Amino acid sequence: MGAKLTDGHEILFRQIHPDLVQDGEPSSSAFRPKEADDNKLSVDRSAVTSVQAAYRLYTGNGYKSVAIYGVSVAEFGAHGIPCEEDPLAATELLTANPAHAFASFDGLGGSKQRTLAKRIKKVAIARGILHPALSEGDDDNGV
Amino acid sequence: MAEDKTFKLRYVGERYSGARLPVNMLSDLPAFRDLLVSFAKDQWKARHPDRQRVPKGFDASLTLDLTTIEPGSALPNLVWSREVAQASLPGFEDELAEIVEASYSDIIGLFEGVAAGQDTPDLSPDKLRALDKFGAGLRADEKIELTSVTGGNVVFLDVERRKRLIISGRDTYSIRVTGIGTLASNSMYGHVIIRTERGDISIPVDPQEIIDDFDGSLDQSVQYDVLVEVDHGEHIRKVLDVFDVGVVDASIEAGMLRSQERFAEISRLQEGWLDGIGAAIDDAALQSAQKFVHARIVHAASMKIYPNEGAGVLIELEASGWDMSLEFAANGSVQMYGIEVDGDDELEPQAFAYVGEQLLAAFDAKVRR
Repeated sequence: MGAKLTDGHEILFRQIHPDLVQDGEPSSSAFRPKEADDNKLSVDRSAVTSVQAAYRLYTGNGYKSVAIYGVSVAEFGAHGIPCEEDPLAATELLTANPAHAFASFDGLGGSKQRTLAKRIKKVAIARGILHPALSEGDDDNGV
Repeated sequence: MAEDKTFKLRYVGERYSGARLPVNMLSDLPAFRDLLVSFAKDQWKARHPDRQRVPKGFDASLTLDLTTIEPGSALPNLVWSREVAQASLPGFEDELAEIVEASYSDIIGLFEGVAAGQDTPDLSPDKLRALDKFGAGLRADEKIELTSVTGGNVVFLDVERRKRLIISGRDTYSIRVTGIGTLASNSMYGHVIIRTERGDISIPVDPQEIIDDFDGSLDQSVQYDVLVEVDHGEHIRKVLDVFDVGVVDASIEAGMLRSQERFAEISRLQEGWLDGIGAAIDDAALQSAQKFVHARIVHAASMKIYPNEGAGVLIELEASGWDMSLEFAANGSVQMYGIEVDGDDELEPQAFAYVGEQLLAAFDAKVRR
């Protein structure tokens, strides 16, 4: 188990699949763990990577992303969702992701996860799209 | 001594739950009474072969009163009053009680016959007229159950049986149809033609209403709710009554088209669409979601439609201060939940077996139409 993330200001990046966006708005399901995710919502840490680098790594590993939204550790925490670091080692097919972390929905039933995902989505939308709205040349954390 | 007689019609279908009887079904009650009276006349004549006609006051003695609607779907109780019969046809109340009961049994027998696929007996014009009104508003998944006087058999009338009964004695029958079509033409002389899946329907409309509401709206979507006469082949012969007809708001139409395009888009998703996981969207989920959009078309423009990883569909929308989600599963069932946009209130997920009155009522309770 990774260390808990304690800096409430740290922004965690969430990649959004293109099919989960309509008219520029992501679905709330993009902000809750998928069935196979063991109640853990994958994110990348702004303390370790930038949105551009996170996007490049994610899509370079063969996943689709149309936008990155950001939610802070404190914002997850306000909804009873702790966050932990979870760096991923390289595999035969995937490049290592030392910035990987997860927001844990453990202990929350499927019903609660659904309504919380809607709250998290609102927070993320209020912050706005972090990438690719940013220019490709801007390589700092951008947050 | 004979007592009052109570006949219970049990309306089965989701919109009748909780002892609710939609007001547009109330016209069934006088139609049922007319059917009962018609059989009662036959009974009287059979008992009095020497008489050509029923006595004065016979019709009035067969009044039915709606006294209550019991739960168990909706069970309107229709009561034949011995006291009223006594006042209308003094001295015959005992015989009338027997006649009313026997007539009700005749109706049960008629419905049992059609249920068993038997040839329908020749029905008099007044019976066909009553049958043509009774159950005209039934939908495809609904029925009216009648229980025999002895409390044994339950027999029901549904759309199909009703049709078979009526067309056995005439070329056409009446049904209520609702939907959305396209305005093909309008005439200052008092009718509009709506192009629908059933063919063109010519609907009478007041000329002034045509000028005010339909002029300049050719090819636009029109919502209709009409009682029509159809033939054996389901072709509409004429419109008998108009409950609603109007051009659909352009923004609603745009929302409808947008949702159709989006449904087409997600129906094309292949297995593994979600980075290797995510099943292709199931037809039952799509149909269920489309049915919901159609049922709440006024909100279509603000609905966002997404695929769900488990072959389902997710619809989300903000309205009336609520951010609502409806998940349509691969088996067509629905889960609805939501959060208050500017508050902490939440609607915990509620499950519905299908898109029907219960779901729509729960949705309407949060989101005003």
